[in-house]
Amino acid sequence: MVILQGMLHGLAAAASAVGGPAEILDHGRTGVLFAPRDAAAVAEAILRLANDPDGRVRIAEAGARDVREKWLWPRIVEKMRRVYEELVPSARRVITARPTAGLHALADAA
Amino acid sequence: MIRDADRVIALTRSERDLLKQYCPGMEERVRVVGNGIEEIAIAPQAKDRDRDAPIVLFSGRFVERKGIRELIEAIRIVLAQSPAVRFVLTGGHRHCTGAQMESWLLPARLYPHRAQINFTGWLTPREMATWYRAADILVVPSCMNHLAW
Repeated sequence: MVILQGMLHGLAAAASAVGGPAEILDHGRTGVLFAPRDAAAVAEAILRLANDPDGRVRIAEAGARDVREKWLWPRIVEKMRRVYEELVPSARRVITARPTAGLHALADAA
Repeated sequence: MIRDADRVIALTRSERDLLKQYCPGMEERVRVVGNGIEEIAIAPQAKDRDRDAPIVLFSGRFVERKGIRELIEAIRIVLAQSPAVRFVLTGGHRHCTGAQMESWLLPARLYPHRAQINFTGWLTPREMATWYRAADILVVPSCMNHLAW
């Protein structure tokens, strides 16, 4: 994902206000969002960042912090684990204890 | 298949909305998790960058839904107002060089600015990291509503 890479590297991100980018960037704080399919809007967003070095650095630094708080793998894996736990409340205990225990039990039963 | 699932993991909220649209009644079983990213070894320093001639980076395939046409037009508008801005366009079409991408995409009226519009072609992750370190602004002009990621 280009947006996350850019934020991680300390770039000020400007993206169309659609899909993933619109959910990742907080307009004016961690990035700049613009209307899709509109060249003038793309240019305006680039000019806003290009002509304001201090504002650009502020946005880049806020984005670099934000991406590390929300989008690094450990955080995402934790969210994923919670989804599995909704289905198997004891998943964490079983996985921690013996990852293959359940499979062996199934094989024995078969 | 989706209807049979106990849980469906979506990458984005807009993907969740798309699922709602096609499989009404599924929404309570959809969870938005997203894709993660790997931490980089060394975070770049702001001081490496030239404040007065910022570099704008685009990375991806040169196709309509990535907004490449809008970007080329935007470059013209930007340079008319701020002529020092530099652009780096990485990616393009598979197996094509940066020079091929430039001749295919760069309009004649941008020729005078060729020196500051760099078409690199596809790069290795290591080469890409160099541009991420050098650039100041990332532009992502995609226009796909649900699958922009």
